[in-house]
Amino acid sequence: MGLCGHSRVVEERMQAGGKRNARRDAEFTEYVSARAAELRRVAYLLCQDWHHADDLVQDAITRLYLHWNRARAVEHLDAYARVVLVREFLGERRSGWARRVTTGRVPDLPGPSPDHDAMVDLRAALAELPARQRATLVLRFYCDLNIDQAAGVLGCSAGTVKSQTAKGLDALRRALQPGQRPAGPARLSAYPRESAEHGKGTVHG
Amino acid sequence: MGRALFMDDAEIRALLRGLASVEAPPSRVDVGLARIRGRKWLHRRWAAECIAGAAAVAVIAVAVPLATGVPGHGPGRAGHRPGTSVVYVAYPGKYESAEMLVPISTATSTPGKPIRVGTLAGAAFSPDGKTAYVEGPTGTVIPISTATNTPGKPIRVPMPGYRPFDITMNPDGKTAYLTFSWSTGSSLSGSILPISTATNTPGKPIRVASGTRPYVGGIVFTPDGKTAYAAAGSLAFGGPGTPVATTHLRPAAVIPIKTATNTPGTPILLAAEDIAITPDGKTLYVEGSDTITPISTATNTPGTPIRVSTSARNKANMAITPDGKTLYVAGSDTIIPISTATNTPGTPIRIKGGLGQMAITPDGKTLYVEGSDTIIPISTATNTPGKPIPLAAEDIAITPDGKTLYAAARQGVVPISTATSTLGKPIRLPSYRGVPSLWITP
Repeated sequence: MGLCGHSRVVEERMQAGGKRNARRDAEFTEYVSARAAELRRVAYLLCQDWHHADDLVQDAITRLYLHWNRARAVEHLDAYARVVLVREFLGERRSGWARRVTTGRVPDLPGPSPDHDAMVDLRAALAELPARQRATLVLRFYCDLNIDQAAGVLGCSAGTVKSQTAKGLDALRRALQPGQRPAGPARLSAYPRESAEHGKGTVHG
Repeated sequence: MGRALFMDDAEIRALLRGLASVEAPPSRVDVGLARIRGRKWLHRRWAAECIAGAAAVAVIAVAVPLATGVPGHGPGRAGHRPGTSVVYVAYPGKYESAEMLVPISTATSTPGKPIRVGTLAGAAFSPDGKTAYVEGPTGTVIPISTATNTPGKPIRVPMPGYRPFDITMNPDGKTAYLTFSWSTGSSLSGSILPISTATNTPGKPIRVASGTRPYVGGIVFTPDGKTAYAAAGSLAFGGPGTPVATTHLRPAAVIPIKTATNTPGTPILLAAEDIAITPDGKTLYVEGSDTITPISTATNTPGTPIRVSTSARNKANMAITPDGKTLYVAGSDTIIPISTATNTPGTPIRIKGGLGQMAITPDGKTLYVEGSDTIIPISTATNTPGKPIPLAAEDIAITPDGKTLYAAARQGVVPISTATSTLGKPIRLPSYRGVPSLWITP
């Protein structure tokens, strides 16, 4: 068992390791406490469901913790966390277990406001996009990433980001044209399109 | 709506920002390390995340087999040859979707060849310790010969879902049970899938929960293996406009299952977040949000709930001594011993720092508790903590002979003598990273 070889040196090293672990945990907690809300907003744009967004963020920060030693050493931790989140989302879609769940109502939106209709329309329009197009638009226009950065997050080429962006924008614009309301609340779904996409095999992007 | 026919990029940007800033329901994301540490139980916690918002709950007592003397897991198992156990360590591999499972011989303390597996929520062993069952990388179950550490033919699981499932062995060794927490779209969410160890084929799923997000928290067995008890439930969100705080679990129940026919019996309606069974199989302990409820397995009727103090909320684990006399419930900074004879809680044992897993030695004399930077031995005779062992462990497990506590730590896997609490030389592992989990063959 190697038990006989223990020494004060080993013990001191262990203690040093313990302190490092505590510091690591404290850093992690501090980081995710500060950034969970923003990650949640990105997750919401990706999936259009706050409860699902919570699940995505919880999964993502768990993965982040598992890889924290590596994550804390990277230059742009926010970017790293975003990669984990987006890949968690895409991985979930890709796995094929996501299926359309019609909620029938839109529970998360606030009461009527000047922008309410616009938000409902946008949410429905986003929901109609394939997962990777949606992720591309969120990264480009919400997270303000350039083409190369978005390609890095999505693990694809810059050309793919360009085409996904163009297709996504085109679809959004068409959907948001006056008179082209894409979906009433009854059509909104927590896990949009996935069953149809999966059936067609297009979700893999 | 006042939108132009062709929106420019700036308008798309503004719309996305607007959508992301709409009034969101309170977050259910728990950034607490009590939740995130201890990955072995993590995936069960995912099911529970849906339940309780910030309250970290729903951890099924993995320590139960260690503590209960269930054949095949129990302390001092007859026929166990000292020094023949294999320690299995799982940690994230190169790709995030898979883990490495590395066997370590307790006789030589040397790591073997890594086996590629899925993200493990649990591992099950045949009672003779010759075969381990773990989740494979693609949602299959892989039987592994513990003598040669070679994986066998993967057992296909229909619709496993994207979250890991746990595997628990019936003490009779004939059936391994896969328990599925909620996983989007998986038809096995809220079900238990029996796998015959004789033929390595899955049987018919046993559905024990239904609803919006059904889940099975975990499963325990009576020592004779004839009855299983599963903690199950479903998450139901309130209607539109309902605050998330009112989100609740319904119907939550403990479901008895006759293992001969794999048919579920009448549910015992209780908010079951964690479940443990005494070694004699006579009493189940079911953890609710701030109570522990004993259930007689003879009548399947719940007894008077035992209230545990608020400091023990945010509970992480339950463990029962091999003699069945004491149930330990770990809280955020307190361990509460409960006498199973009288079902009354004793004086809480205060421990500094967040608590992780618990493990009890086979002789029942010492309870080891994983603190944040130390492992704390507690004498079960006096319920007093001993001198902390200075090691920040991510997971701990005790060999069946009770001589060595293995701790997965940042430095590697560290053997610790239970007789002297001295640390051995860390066993280094290839490409070791992340938060590891440990299992030891019976």
